[in-house]
Amino acid sequence: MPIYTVFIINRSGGLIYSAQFQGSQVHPLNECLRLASTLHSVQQISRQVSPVDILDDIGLTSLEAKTFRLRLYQPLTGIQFVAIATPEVTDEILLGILRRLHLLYADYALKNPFYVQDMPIRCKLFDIHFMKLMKPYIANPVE
Amino acid sequence: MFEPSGERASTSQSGRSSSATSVKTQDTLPSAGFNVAALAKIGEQAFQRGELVSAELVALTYGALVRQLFLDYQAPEDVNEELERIGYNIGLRLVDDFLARSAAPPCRSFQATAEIVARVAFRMYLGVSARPANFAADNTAYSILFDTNPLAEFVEVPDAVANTLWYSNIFCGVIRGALEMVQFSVRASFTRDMLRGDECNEIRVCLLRELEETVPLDKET
Repeated sequence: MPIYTVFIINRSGGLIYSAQFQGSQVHPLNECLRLASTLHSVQQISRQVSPVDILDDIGLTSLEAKTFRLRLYQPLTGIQFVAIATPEVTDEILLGILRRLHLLYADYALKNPFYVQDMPIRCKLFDIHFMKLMKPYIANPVE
Repeated sequence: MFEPSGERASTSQSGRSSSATSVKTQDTLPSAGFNVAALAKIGEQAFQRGELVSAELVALTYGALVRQLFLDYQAPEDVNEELERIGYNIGLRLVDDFLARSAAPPCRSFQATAEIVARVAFRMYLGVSARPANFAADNTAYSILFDTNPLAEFVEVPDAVANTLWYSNIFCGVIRGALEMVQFSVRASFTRDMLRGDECNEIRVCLLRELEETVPLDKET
């Protein structure tokens, strides 16, 4: 039950971290940037069209297709964590992973004094712990 | 480490479904619909779970920082400002750590942030109990009161600056930075400090405005 893709998208829709794993079609980085910002826009729009008060609705959280499942986790700060996996990976598992990813982001990106907020995450420690987190869910990393 | 609770931890949310606008017109409701004991427990659990650092080490390091700022800036007002700025930058980053670790229920009104900041965040990061108080009638300001301040444990402020320096002003910055990341632009400042002989520490938090989370669709006409 592999995970295909993980994105972290900042508050303004910029892709700040991406990882793609074997088994899926691998997209070039530019395409990932476009996908991420489109997803960000769709998420924002989904909140606008919500029939209830916008404050009480967090908008799009998951998307199911025949061949994949997309899960989106957005804490109150507005950053988005996105995972795409095969459909048999349950929603709870994906959400659990994304929450742990949030923790890694807080620990190894934000607490790194040389990491600038909202910029692409290029932190060795983050990479290491990210791979540790993903290991049970992937075959072989491509990037 | 992770509770299998819903997307937005759904504990003790009764009374929180009202929209932000209607909350503002309500009479002051000190607990903002939260279960105070539950919040204290959340804070305590997060405190226990986190890695603990010697309070003495933190107090001494902070003392060295303030001392150095004094050498650099001379004027106590500038030191206050610089401490606040340092805290602000900490708060901007720390809030994600808080959201990821605390499992605290979300704040949808400014008033609710008082409970979360005082009862959960202070407990979690400082290990002290704080309480919200003195809500303004229109709910745009509140105070956070606390009796123990781990930063000030060994401190005696010299008489010359006793009435101008807010020794722990870094807290104000942290609160401002953290709340700004969750869409509340605030001003936070000390109004009472036990180092000045007051009977408790008080930080006044004033709401400046709620930041727009999304651009409204109908603004383009």
